[in-house]
Amino acid sequence: MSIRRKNRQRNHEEADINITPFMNLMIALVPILLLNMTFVHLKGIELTIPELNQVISTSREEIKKEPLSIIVRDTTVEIRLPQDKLLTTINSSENDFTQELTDYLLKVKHTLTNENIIVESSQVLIEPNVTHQKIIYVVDAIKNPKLIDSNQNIFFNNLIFGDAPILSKVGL
Amino acid sequence: MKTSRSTRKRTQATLNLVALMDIFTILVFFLMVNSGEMQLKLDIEQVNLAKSETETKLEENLSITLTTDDVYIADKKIMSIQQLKNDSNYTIQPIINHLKSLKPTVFTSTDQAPLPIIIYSDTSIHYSLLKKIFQTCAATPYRKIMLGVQDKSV
Repeated sequence: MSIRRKNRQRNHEEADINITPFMNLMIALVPILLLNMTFVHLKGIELTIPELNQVISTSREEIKKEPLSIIVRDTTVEIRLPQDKLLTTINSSENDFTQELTDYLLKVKHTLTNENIIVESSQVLIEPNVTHQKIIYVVDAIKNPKLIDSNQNIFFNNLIFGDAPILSKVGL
Repeated sequence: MKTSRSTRKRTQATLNLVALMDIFTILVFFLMVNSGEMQLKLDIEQVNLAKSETETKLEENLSITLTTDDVYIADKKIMSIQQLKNDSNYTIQPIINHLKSLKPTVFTSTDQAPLPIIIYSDTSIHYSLLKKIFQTCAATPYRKIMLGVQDKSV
């Protein structure tokens, strides 16, 4: 008698969990969250531009600090030292050249560190018909966190945008 | 008597929702993580944003959007890309006028701190057009420019 009653009690407890309200909640929540789902994750790249009437003075100061020049052309990216010495030319017609550019900038940083030279800023000189995506690739390479060394010296990180010199003038 | 009662009980208890519950619970957490904090004002189909490795989060602000055909401020069309191309002035007056009409006070105060503005641009937009937008922004208090890009890793 006692065993049978125990059995019946256990059966009763198992059937008692009522998940219907929870189910209802889930059925409402899932479509709401599905609608809110984003497939594009937005990020931002910050640029600070000087006030219009400050342009000339700021750029003069920056030139004194001798920036690294990165000239972005339609199919190539040139990297030049402050004395206008051409370091290398990277082919930018292929899809994503961020990695190649980053690797090269790290190499330049390494040699500069050995010579105790710090080049904080870089001027990105762009030809008019370069697309937005290519500019972003270049900015990505320059903003790479590896370009900050152990002494918190920043390399090439201060960006200056400008127009690229015309090809024939540079004399490749 | 006894057997009939037990069979009736069994048929009542057959619906098992536990597995479904498990799926829903996992799904809800997955969707909560993936739900976006912010969305483009314009239809995403129109703007093919550039991909970037940057980690900087984007905060919602006033935006200038350059699609392949048109220029928008917030979600209002200002001019076409062709008009922007043809405009040979240093700054683009229609854009300045519209920014002025949105917040006239920031243009009149003398010591205005730089205001943030987001520039969403299609990947195919050329630098010559972007430069015009930058120059125009430099002439207004909206000098804290954020370039809106999409995460490369996703």
